Amino acid sequence: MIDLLLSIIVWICAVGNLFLGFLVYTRKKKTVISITFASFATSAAFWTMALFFFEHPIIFSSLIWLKIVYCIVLLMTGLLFSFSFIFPRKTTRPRTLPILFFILTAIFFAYLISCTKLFVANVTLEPWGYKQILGHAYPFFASWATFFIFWALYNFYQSHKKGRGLERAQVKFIFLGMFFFTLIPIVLDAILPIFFKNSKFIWFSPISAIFLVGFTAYAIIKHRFLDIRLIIARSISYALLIITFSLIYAGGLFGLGTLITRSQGTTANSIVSAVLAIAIAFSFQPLRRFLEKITDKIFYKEKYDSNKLIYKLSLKMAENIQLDVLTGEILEILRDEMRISTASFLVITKKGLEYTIKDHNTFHSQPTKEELKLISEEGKILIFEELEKGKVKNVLRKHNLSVFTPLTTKGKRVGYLLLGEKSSGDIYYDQDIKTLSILASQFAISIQNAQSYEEITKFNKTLKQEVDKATLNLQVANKRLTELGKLKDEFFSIAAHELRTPLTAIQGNTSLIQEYFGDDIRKNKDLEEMVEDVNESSKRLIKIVNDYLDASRLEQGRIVFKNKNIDIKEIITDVVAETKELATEKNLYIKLGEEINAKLLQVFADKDRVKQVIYNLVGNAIKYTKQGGLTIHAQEENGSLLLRFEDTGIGIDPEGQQLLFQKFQQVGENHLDRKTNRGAGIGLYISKLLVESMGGKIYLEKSEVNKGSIFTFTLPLAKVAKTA
Amino acid sequence: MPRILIIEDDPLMTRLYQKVFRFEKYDVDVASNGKLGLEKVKLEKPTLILLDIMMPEMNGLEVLTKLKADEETKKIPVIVLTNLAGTQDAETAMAKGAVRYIVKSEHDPKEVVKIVKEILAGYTRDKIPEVSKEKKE
Repeated sequence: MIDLLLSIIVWICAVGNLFLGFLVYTRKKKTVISITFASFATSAAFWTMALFFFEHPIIFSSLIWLKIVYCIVLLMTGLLFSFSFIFPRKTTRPRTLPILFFILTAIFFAYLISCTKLFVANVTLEPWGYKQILGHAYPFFASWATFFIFWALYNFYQSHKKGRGLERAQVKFIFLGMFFFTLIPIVLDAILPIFFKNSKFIWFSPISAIFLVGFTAYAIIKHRFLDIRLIIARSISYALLIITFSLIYAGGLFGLGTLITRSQGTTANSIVSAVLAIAIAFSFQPLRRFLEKITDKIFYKEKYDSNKLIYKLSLKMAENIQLDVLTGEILEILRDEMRISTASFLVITKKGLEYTIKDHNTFHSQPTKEELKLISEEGKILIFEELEKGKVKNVLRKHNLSVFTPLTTKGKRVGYLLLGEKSSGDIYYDQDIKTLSILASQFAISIQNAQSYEEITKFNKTLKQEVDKATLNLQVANKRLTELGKLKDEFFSIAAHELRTPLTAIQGNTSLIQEYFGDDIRKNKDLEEMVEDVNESSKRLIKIVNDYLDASRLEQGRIVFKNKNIDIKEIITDVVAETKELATEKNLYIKLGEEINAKLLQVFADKDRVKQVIYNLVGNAIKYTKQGGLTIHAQEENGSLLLRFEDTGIGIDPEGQQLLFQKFQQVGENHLDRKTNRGAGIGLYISKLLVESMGGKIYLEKSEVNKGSIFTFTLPLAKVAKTA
Repeated sequence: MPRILIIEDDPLMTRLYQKVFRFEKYDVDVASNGKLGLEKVKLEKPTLILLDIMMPEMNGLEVLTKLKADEETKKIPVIVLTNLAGTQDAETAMAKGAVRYIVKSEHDPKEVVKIVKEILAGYTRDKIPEVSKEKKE
């Protein structure tokens, strides 16, 4: 019974190893590594079988089988030894000499095994089975094999230490498989027979192959060892498919057969077959898909849905416009969905290269500019596993990069996506690479958008700063202007005061000269004229200075208005009387409207100030009229008295009308003849201040060039005395 | 002969008024500040005083107050001379007993003489004779 159980285990091991060797050998890409491994697995299978036949001899005697076993052991050891030098990649360790040494000694041992009795002395049949009597050379062989096996294990250990990612994981499991696979035979076939003279368990040593199969299978499933996972997955799903259909077919045939066959014979048989064939035809696809799904789930645990991932990322990209948030979110999704240990974006900004890192703990190191230039030269996605040996691959290895994706949009490189190995230690599949290449252009576009957005934001900021600065400058300038304006007013006021005394002296003295020495002066025409001019000039100057002072005091509200109920007719008559002379000189008429004579018109205002305004308006009319004259009208309207001064003067053009009531503006001054007094350009301005201070309005009602103007001002009507 | 005392710090104005009054055959006396003015009033006993308000040291208002406080001088008519900006002070002066105020720039010297004449005519009827008498004595 034990024998049967052991036999089954041994055969499972043998078949397993054979299957493993076959799969590895038949994979698409044949390399020295895959061939060596396939040979090793196959020889292990044969070793197992040979040992079985040693115990259960057929064709040859046990002795011959034993000799075959040892020859296979030589071969296996050799293959294991060479494999340790080339897996996962060719090591730099010198291997020609050791292998040559191995081959020479192996040939020597082969000779000893096959042609002498020094190795295997004899085989005896004991009650528990066949027993080998070891020759004198066996201990040498055992130590020799152990030596090379440990050398090989040491090589694996070294590769494991230096390896990275996927390779490291692969080496780890292969190393463990090899370790147990060789440790057990060393104990059973070398230590026990030599030191304890017990060779009873030698045939049992192939049980160790279970470890090799097991660990290798694990490396295949988990770490995609030698790229045969898909084959295994499909093989298993098809095996299950065949088994299922065999069972259905057999069961159906048996069940239906028992019901129908007796009476119907061959016709019934063919009907049953047809029904089953139809059933199989219809159920084949769904079942196959179901089984594939199950096997895929086992073999491709970390698989994700590319479309869903792309959709999810597209949403994130549409959602975010801030560069750091955007890249951060993308990295997080990539890491979670593709199960990548480390991922980062390297974005090309105006300042240079900027990193977005999602996981600081396991972050890969940063490639230098030269390295980046080297690896991004082709502008393609680089996958570490697929790269030929060379500088590019070395750069990726140096920085722990598994996938390097340049991000380009419209021919412009905006950055790079750097991915480390997958957390599972797995490699990147076609699906990953396809997904990444689709995403790469989207990443590039959204990164560029984010950068543009950032630039615009920055631009807006600087613009705002500029505007603020300009505004501040304006405010300062404005403040300065206001201060200057104040200073100017102050200056005028002071200057005017200071001017008045000397002016009064000039004026006073001239008038005294004319008054008391008139006879003397008149004897000399020139002298008379000169004194007259001095008199006129000083009068004018006094008027100007007085006007300026008036204006500035009005502006500062320093003039007190003594408003009373006053008769407007009286004032108008006064002014007309005073200006009569001027008007007559120019042959101009001054007429009063009938309503002024017809009715008592009273306003509430300061008599002197009203007179000043009227005087100004009448004076202007005379000044700017060449023929015709002035008519003064008065009318009551809405609680106000409207005084209208209608002249037949030169009129004012629209441009001049705009400036009329402004300070220091003289409109139409160039139309005056030289003899006429020129004012300070302030008369209407003062009038406006005066009228407004008394609660009225002054404005140009109408004006037409060369036809005349109508100036109008209003004053509040007199307050009706309360009759008690 | 009426005697006019001009208390005024600006020699230009002083000379102007001095001249016109001289031309009009008045006796004219001048003082260039308030203090001197007060001394001269006591000494000369003028018929009328032209008093400038804006003066350094002792201004016209103070002088006026002192004149009106003194029994000897309070009956002498005082005309206050001022400029446009000083109308407020001029009103105060009126309240303190000045007979009139004259804005210097607004009146020719001849007009000032005219004003003085009018005032003296009024005073002549009532008070000047007394003063004259005293003077004669």
